[in-house]
Amino acid sequence: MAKLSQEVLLTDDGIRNDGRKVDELRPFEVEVGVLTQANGSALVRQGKNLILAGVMGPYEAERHSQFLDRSFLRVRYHMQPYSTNERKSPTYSRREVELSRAIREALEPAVILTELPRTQIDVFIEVLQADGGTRCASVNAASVALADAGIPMRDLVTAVAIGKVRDTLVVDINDLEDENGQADFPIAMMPNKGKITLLQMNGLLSEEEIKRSIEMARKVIDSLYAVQVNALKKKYAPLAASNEG
Amino acid sequence: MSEKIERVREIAVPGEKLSEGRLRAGEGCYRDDSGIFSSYLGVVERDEQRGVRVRPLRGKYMPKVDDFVIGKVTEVGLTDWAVDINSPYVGRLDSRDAGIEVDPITVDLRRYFDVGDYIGAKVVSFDRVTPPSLTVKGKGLGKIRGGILISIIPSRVPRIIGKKGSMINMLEKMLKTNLIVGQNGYIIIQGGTPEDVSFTISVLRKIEEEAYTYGLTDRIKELLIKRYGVQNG
Repeated sequence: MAKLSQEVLLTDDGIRNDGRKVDELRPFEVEVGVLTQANGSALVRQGKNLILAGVMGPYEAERHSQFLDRSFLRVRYHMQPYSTNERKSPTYSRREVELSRAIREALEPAVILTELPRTQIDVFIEVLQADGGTRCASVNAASVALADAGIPMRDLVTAVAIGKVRDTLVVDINDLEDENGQADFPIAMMPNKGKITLLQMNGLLSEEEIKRSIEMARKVIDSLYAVQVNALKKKYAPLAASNEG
Repeated sequence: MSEKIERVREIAVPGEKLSEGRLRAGEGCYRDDSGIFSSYLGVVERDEQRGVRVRPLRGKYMPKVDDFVIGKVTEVGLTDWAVDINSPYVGRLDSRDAGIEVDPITVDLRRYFDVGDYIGAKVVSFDRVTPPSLTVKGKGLGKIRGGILISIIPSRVPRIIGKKGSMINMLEKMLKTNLIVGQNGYIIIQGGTPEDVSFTISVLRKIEEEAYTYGLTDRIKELLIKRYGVQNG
């Protein structure tokens, strides 16, 4: 399929194909504790992305996968067959293996694995609906689910993908921009620490564009982070406030 | 947990800054160059003397030495038992800690505790690298016969017990059932009619759910009086 022209992705007035401005995020919602059997869970909507993360553990790992000094974090990213417009084979693909690893490495610096030696923590991510930037939305869901599971963490992890369309940097790209744009640049951070835990790039960006992208990401990650925090606190807010009522 | 701590209760998320670093960083927090941060989603407790700590709202039981726990025997070995204590770490009860000198050739440990038995035990030692070891030597420890087991979130057990045992004393006095409360979140309910038992469960669930509200003891007291009336003593 031929690529869409760049003018479709970004009009002269700076409006993107879904009506957003260049620095505007898609609607972002987080719901905590949607699963009752899992130790922790979160459902994230980021644009048309709909992603469910469930955490099992910590539990004692099998002998052969135990680390004596830290916990073993396992992440499984999986897309449902109905998550994309063309049926996706339900079997585990090469791409999913790669993304599982990228997401795990984005989360690992935030989880205090040394608190729980010999144990294993499993994060299962199901992409129910995909609309570009699923790895970022998955990181956002997984970090909230881990916190909900009561797992010790240095910080939450928040992610967003910066892209380039019509030679312009845009924030939180959707599927169309991902496929037809000039670059896809997912970034994950620990917002309180200002540290980057995931940085990948598909496409081409100049050195100056990379620097600007990171600055743009830093800014919007703060507002994504606020949504994550609210979702976590909301679950306990009626409890904490009920003495007044 | 003193009244004073309860009054300043607040919820923190992992990575949330709790202090510039003047206070002592207690359990559930960590310190780095720029201050003290929470490492859990939990309730913040600040205290001038003891510093700041965060009690997780959820999560599994982390064994602590001298804790009374209720465990379920899951495996019987030649000289020890494996015991589920609602923790990522499987407890180990050595036959010597059960007060039995065993010759593994002649004695079958199933005679003492079999798979599926519930025991009240104390944590003797735990260093995270070796399994937590348990003992059943001591008053009130050993096999638990009969009763109904419920499991609550371990970090909310302190609320079942209350400040200096205020909640558990009240429950014991006013409920028509007996409670055995393990620090690991397992609670055994013994005695009483089926109605008493289901009422007890509803009370315990309420305490669990509202563990981080104020005035909980008073609300529970009201509930108990409404059901059983005022009792003397």
